[in-house]
Amino acid sequence: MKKCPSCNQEIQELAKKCRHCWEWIKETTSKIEDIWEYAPSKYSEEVPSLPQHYYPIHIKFLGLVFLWLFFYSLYPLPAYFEAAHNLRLAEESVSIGNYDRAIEGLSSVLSSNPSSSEAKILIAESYFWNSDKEDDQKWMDYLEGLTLDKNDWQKLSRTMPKEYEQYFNSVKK
Amino acid sequence: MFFIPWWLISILTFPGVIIHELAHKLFCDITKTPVFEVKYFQFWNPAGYVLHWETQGLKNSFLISIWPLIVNSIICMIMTMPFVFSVFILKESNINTVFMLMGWIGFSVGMHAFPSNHDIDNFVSEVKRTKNKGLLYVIAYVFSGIIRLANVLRIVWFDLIYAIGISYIIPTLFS
Repeated sequence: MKKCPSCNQEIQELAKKCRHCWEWIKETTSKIEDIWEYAPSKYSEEVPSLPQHYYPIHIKFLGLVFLWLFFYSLYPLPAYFEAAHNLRLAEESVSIGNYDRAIEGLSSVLSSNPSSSEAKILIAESYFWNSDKEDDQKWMDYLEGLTLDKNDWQKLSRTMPKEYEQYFNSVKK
Repeated sequence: MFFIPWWLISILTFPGVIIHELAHKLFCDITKTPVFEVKYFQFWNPAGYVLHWETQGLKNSFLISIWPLIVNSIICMIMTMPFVFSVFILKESNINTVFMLMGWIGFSVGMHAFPSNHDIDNFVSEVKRTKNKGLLYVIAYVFSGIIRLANVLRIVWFDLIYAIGISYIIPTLFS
């Protein structure tokens, strides 16, 4: 037996809450094993259970924020799924040589996700493969402002028209 | 393999700790299991805990001990999807700040999906008490072994690998 620091009444040695004055006994435990030694039998003698569905106000607030974020994450998903699907179809189209279809699909991706560098690089690659001189300005517009890594450069340089290689090499440096 | 103190990991991923304990508390309420104390987050070990009465029955034990793994995994999958699509699949240059926040919360929740060894001990002890010691008994032991192994492998960031892995499943399969 020990004494409650608040009301000085006698309580169980392992009690976490005084049954006389209902004050919590401030004892820290550092390991989960120590905590579990107190529960459940000791708790049932000295401490009532929390009310069912009781959550502190700050947890309720965090829960609301979390729920809002969770449902907010759902609304862009249909557009993202469609864009990712179109991107994959465009990659397949490029691999089989159907560049017009790839360009059409990638234009659809870029209309909903205009900052997608993956789509921009692939559409530039498709325009390169198309070898249509009238499209030159289009792929230059798509690549403008993009930061390309080594893999992207390798993909583009494989298909880039020779007359633009020198320009791209100077920009790359 | 670089080492980061556990308390720093807990601080950086505290939403996952809170959601994990919240899931335990929620299922305790659903199963009408008395709860004596809940610590949603603290800056020492354990980072969070729920002290509850002994579970009554295998179904309740499963709901309380194991369902947080399922709930946290689903939450991780869904909340990280916009971030995964935006950053890794479409590689957008303008990333929505809210998506980045959701990505952090989602990965944190995924990292804290696994039940603790104590949760598994509760579940296995309940399985031992059941009269039917057939297939469920074997599955429970195998499952508990997998969870214990996963908890050990946290030292090599298995929890982060798991969170990243499950966040990629749906975008990869359905796009």
